[in-house]
Amino acid sequence: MPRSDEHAYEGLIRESERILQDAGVIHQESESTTEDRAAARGRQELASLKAAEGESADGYADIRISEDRMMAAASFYPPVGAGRPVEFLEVQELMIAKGLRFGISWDTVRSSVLACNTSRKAHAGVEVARGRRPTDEIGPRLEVEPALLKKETAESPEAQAVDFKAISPFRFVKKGDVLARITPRIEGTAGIDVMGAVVAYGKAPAPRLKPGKNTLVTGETVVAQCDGKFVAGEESFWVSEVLEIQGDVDYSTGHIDFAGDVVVHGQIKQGFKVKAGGSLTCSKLIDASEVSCGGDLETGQGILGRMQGTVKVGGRVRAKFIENCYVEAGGDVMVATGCLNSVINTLGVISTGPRGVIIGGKLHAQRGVSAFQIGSTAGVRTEIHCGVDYRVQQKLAWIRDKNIELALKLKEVEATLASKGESPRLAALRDKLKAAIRTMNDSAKKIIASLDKNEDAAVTASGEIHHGVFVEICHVPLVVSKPMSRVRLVLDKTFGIVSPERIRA
Amino acid sequence: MKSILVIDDETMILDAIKIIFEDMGYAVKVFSDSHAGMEEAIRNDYDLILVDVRMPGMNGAEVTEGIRKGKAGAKILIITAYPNDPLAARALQAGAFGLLKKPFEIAKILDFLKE
Repeated sequence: MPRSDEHAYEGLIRESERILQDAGVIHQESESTTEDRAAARGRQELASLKAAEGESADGYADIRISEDRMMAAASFYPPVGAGRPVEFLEVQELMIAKGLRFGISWDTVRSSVLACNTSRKAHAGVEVARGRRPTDEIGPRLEVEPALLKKETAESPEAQAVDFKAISPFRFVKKGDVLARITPRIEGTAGIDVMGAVVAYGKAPAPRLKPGKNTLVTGETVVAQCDGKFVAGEESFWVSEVLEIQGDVDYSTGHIDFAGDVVVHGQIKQGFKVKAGGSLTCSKLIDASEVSCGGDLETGQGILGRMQGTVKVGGRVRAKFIENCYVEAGGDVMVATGCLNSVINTLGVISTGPRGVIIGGKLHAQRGVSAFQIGSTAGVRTEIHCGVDYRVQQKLAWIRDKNIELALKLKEVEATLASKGESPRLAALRDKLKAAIRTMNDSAKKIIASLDKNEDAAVTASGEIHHGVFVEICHVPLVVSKPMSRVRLVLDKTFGIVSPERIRA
Repeated sequence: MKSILVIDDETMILDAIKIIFEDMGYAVKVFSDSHAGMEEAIRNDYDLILVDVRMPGMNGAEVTEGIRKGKAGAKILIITAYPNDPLAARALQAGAFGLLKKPFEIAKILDFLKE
């Protein structure tokens, strides 16, 4: 490069440095270095003037120390004309004179000096020393289990095989599950600045996360005090016993399996399962879903089964209607407008609103049935069984079916024995079948003996009960042969029949 | 708001449909008189018209024929306790687009309304 060009280049660097410095981009410097910097700038300008006049100038270095003394940077300026090159020893002396003691990279200094001299270009802002910053002391703090903060997504490569209905945005925990762990205090470490002075460590701000409702601190961990939904806020985390879903139970929520109470402000969409340990409240429709809850079930609209929905409830059921659904309830079933073609089993009462209908289906209600209209003019098959525990009834039905199977098999074995002569294996089988039938019959007798009958159970129609309706109270049957109005069907214990009583106005 | 017109002589059915569907946000009008129901169906627009097959006076097939003459685009569903009833078949031929089994099928009505 021609000499005149080199001068022009030198000027460009100086100008750039000045501008950068003014803009505050160059490393922060302590006040003590301000004068040095001014002097260096003066020397640089002088060298440049000399060069401009065709004179020589020696190469030199300039050292700057950051305000926090954690970093030192050097700028190396090449000689001009016949001036002496930058000397490593001179730079070393300069650095020592500046008070640099710690974290010095002599290799960097050496290589920068060499590069400056050989390239005859300035090397500015080269980091030549770095202090060690202190690390703050961190007090003991709570850290939530990472699995509880992880969000499940269906974006994996296996997504096509994923049951999207099973993906839940909620984090459910069981009593005793670890929610968070106490991370012990972390000691701080002192730092050293480039001048060799020790820098004391501080204290990191105390974490604010605190265990909230339904949590228990046990030793080094925080555990859930009950089953529920894990909730983490900005400053606290807790376990909620109520799961509230603002919209529908659909693909946005997945199936719900919650230990506490569940409140759904929308619908439970077709095909979705909801299991609540406590009560279940649904503001809108429960549509062909698999629903179970330990407490009461209440829906603002109705329950649509579409011949596949099942509802199992520990407590009471309240709905506007139930259609084509299987319902089991420990408590009363109250349906405002209609039970349509459904199988409803309850240990309590099935009742409708003042103009409610029961049309079609099979109802077991230990404590009786009450509706405005039962059956229809079209004679839709409607069966009502009262007075007995449906669970016992189901057991008896199972025993009956098994007995029929066993008896048919026994008949077959005996026929084979009669036609083909005595066979020890078949004879043993025959004896086994006979014994099984006896056992079944004994069980049935025991169950019947312990049957909790409610002979006061009644079927009441405040409007009309239509022909074709089958009523059974404590196993005593009645087929309604002609429509009856304002009637109560009760068990006449004297005659062992089901007889109608007029309801007085 | 979608609207439903129900023509059935069984007042209990009418009451139940009215309560259930109004609860779900539909406008429901009911007629137990088949002739009056047919006139209403022609006079006003409904998203769905439910017509019972067996009614005194005009039967469901006649009502369907009458409505379709007066309003070709009317969407009619037949309600019947007997799916093989010849009157139900006649109503379908007259332009009813589907059949519901009595007392009524809420799920199917909702599906039709969604469509």
